[in-house]
Order: sequence, then structure tokens, then C-alpha cells
Amino acid sequence: MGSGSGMDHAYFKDRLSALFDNELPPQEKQIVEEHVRDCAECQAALAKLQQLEDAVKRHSELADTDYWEESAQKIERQLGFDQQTVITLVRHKWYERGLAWKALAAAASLAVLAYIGLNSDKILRQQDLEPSPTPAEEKRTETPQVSPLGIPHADSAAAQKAEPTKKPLATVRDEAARKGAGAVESQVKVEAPKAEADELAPLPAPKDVNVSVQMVRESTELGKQIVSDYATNAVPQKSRAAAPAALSAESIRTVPDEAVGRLEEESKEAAVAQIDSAVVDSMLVWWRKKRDALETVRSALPGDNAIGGLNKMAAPTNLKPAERLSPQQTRDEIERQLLEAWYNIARLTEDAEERGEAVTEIRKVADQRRSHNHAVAVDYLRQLGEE
Amino acid sequence: MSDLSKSRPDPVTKGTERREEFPDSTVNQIVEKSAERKLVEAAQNGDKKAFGDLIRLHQKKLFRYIYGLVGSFDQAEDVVQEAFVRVYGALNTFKPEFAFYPWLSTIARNIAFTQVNREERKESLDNLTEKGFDTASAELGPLERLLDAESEKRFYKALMGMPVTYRSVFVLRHFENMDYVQIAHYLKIPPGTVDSRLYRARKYLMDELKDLL
Repeated sequence: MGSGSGMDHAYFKDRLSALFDNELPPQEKQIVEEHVRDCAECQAALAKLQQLEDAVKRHSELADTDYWEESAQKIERQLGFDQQTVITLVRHKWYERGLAWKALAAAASLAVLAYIGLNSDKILRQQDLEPSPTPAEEKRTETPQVSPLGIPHADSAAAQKAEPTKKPLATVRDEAARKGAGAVESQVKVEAPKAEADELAPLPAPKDVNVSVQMVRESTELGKQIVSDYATNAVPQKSRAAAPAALSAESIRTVPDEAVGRLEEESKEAAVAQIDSAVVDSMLVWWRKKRDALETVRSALPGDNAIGGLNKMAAPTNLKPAERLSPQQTRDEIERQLLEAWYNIARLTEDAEERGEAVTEIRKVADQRRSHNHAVAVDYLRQLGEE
Repeated sequence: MSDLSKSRPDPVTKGTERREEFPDSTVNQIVEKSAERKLVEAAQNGDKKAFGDLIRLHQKKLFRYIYGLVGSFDQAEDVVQEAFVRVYGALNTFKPEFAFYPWLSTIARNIAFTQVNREERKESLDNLTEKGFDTASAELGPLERLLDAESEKRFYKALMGMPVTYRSVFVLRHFENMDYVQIAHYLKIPPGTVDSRLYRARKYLMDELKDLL
């Protein structure tokens, strides 16, 4: 078929666009292609189509501006990415604080245990070998023993020298429990028995047994060994004998393991209490934020009036009709979540006023017998002891 | 006569050039697809930064496409945002072995078509279905801040000067590389109508932009 046979040039010109897009049926395509080979005008038109496509690629690109980053951040905010980041940070903070307290408590425990291990013979000498003074004896020991010639008795002088170490272990434990792990360290520092340090040679005298890193490091291993030995009670006597000379098997054996165990437990409890306090603070912050957000949402909900209804109709929603909550269901759900927030705030806060406000809000719902959340509110009040 | 049916060939002038570009572009596509797949998988595993990267990777191209369809900066912005939000919500249903952009653009297109259809209905009601081509009265508005060169402004003014029925066909063909059957399917018009609308749209643009060709 010739290029123009039976068909005029206008027809081929109209088909060039489809030919360019390779959208012609095979037979028609062959006919049009044959025409184009012989027609300079159609070849030029085809070339123009290619130029247009190139121009579209060249001139349709949008510039790289700040707009794109702003837009991306806007989408991320819409997806709640920034909110999630805040929550992650808070969680991380709890974690770090928890670790710090645990590390501090562990270091303090080991320092105390090491000190006890190192000075166990002195402690026992005062606690167990020397009987506890009766009130009468206590009074007597207040004045130094004097010889008839007015010279202090040798034993009395030794007792005076040892005075700083006389505080019983139970007292140390009690004070540690009252003041927490930090108190244990400071107590140990005050109690350092300088007077008898020389007697413990060749071990270095624990002149300043406190949380100093160096000291803890030095004493940790030994303390661990002592605690481990007594905890398992499985170490043969022989291996204990291999301990430094001053820590003879005799003196170690007489350390009351029950006291050591209790002291360690109480140090841990003090640290755990601190962690709990930090967690409670963070939870309170979380519930307060949730309460505020829910109250904001609740105040923005469309009402049942005409304008509210129109607003609702205009609001975009991606949910199918069957998946949408009715306005009442939405309000109930928000109220239920608010109740949960108020309950947790009332449970966690130490601020009486804040607790009172939360209880009042829960009571308002509990008083509405027709409310769908009535039972939930009553249960919360019961759990808070506010029935 | 050579077979001109391979990958939209230019029957006379550009066929060879296209074939020469093929290997490089294929390699690039494979590399890009591999990087994109990693991002998708990471995002599916909860990596928000990875999804942020996917937003930054595709938002410009998607915006250009959607703006071409709806012809309004604000609407395009809304559609793009809505598309990313929907995609994120359905991310776990997506199979990473497929390309991410077609999925994203399909969702965005469906959102946009709702708006285009609404606009078409409005035009029909106002007896403006066959609104004429009018570059002079077309306004770019906020889009101008995203256009560097005067030639780009002229191109978009001409594009916006088309009635939406022509513009949507042109954009689907040139921005998204769809074939006539796909365009017909999405716009719910016969393939022959796609052909004729595209022909007229191209003719109009060639006249408007002849000094840029």
C-alpha cells in the first residue's frame, strides 16, 4: 500500500501521536510507518513529538528547596513520629537512671562488704569476744580505768583507742537502711578504724574506705570472694587459708553471714526504692500528658447541633462507614481513656490537690448512672478507696 | 523495515539513542530498587527514620504528578500527605519485592481522582466540561517557589492552561509513563479517547512552548 493510497495525509498526521507512543495496532502501525518513511512533514512532526517529550522532562522538574524538608517533617508529625521520639527519650531516661542507681548501690554494697571482710577480726572482737556492756558497765567504761598511781590502765587505753570502732554493726545497718546507699558509704568513712590499722599489716590500712574508685576497685574482688564463700559455704577450708595472712580463716569464719546478707539486701532495697520513685515520676508525667491531650480532643469534638454535624461531615475520614464510631461512641471512648488517666494520676501522685481533682472527675462519671462508663468509674473509685 | 514496537521507539530518529541508554539506566534502577527495598523492609520493622527517608525519596516526584492531576498546590499537598499516611498505615501489607513508588502513586492517584472527579462533576454542572485551553489565565500560585527557571514556569502555566480532562491524560502518559489502556482504565474512558485527548494536549503544548523545544 502506498503512503497515500486510499488515505489522506491528515489521517496519518492524526496517528503520529499514537505511533510515537507505540500504541497502534500492528497492521495500522505498519501502514503509518510506511507513510512516515516517505513523508518529510510527518517525520518532522514525529521529531517534534520527541522534542516535546524531552522538553517535558527538562522543564517539569521541581526545584530542590526547603519546602521538601518542611513537607516531609509535616508528614512525619502527622504520623506522630515526633511524639514517639519524646516517649522514647523518657523511657531511655528511666533506663539510665535505673542503671546509675544500680551501679551506685552495687559499688556501695561491695565497698561495705570489703570493709567488713578486711576488718572482720576487729568487728568480732568488739561485738562477739567482748560482751555487750550492761548499762552499769557502760557507765563504768565512761571513765578510763586508772591505776592507784593515777596512770591509765593499759587495757583501758587500748579500749579508748578503739572507741571509734565500737559502734555495733547493727547500728551501721540501721543507719544505712534509713539513709540509703549513699549513707552507707559515708558511715563507713566515719567508722574507718585508724587506731588499729597498723595491726592489720601487711594489708594496706583502710584509711579512707569510701566510694573512691580506687578503693572500691581494690576491695571489690576480695569482698566478692568473701561473700561468695559464705553464700555457697562450699569453699574448702584449705582455700580460705590461702587468703592474706591478716584475714586468717579463724577471723573470716566468725563473720556473721546473716548480718552481711541483711546489709546487702537493705542496700539493694534502698536503691530499688530510688528507682521506683523515678519510674513513678515518669509515669505521672506520661499520664498527665495523656489526660491533657484527651481533654483537648474532647473539647474539640463536634456536638450534636447542626453546626457540629456539618463540621463532622466536612471532616475527612478514611474509614468505611461501618468502621466509623458514632459521635456518642467517640465521646464514650475518650471518656473511658480519661478515666484511666485520672485513676492512674490519683494512684501515683503525692499531691493531695491533684489527687482530689482526679477523684472528683472520676466521681462525676460515677454519679451519672446512665453513662456507659459508670461501672468503670465506680470500680476506679473503689480501687482508690474513695467509694 | 525495522521492528519499531520495542519500548516506545521513535521510528525515525531516536531509536538507536534509546537503546544506548538502556544498560546504564537498568543498572541504576537495580541499585535504586535495592536501596529502596532495604528502606521499605526497615520501615516495616518499625524504623521510622527509614520511612522518613522513603518520604524524602519520593515526595517530590509524587507531588509533581499529583499537582499535574489536580492543578492545585494545596490539594496536591494534602493528597501527598494523605497518601503517605495511608501507605504507612498499610505498610505491613506491602511486599518489599515490588517497587514502592508504583504502590504509593496508585494510592495517591486514587485519592486525587476523587478530587478530579469532583471537579469534573462541578464543571459539568456549570456547563464547563469542554473548557478551552487557556494558558494566559492560568495561575501557578505557591508552585512558583518550586520553579527555578522561567522555562519551567512557562511549562507549568501551559500545563495548567489545559482543561483537567486533557491534563490528566497528558500527566499520566508523560509523568508516570502509563500506556493508553492503563490511562483508560484509571480515567474510565475508552482508549480511543485517551489517544485523541493526548493528541490535542500535545498539539497545544507544542504551540505554547515551541521556542523551548
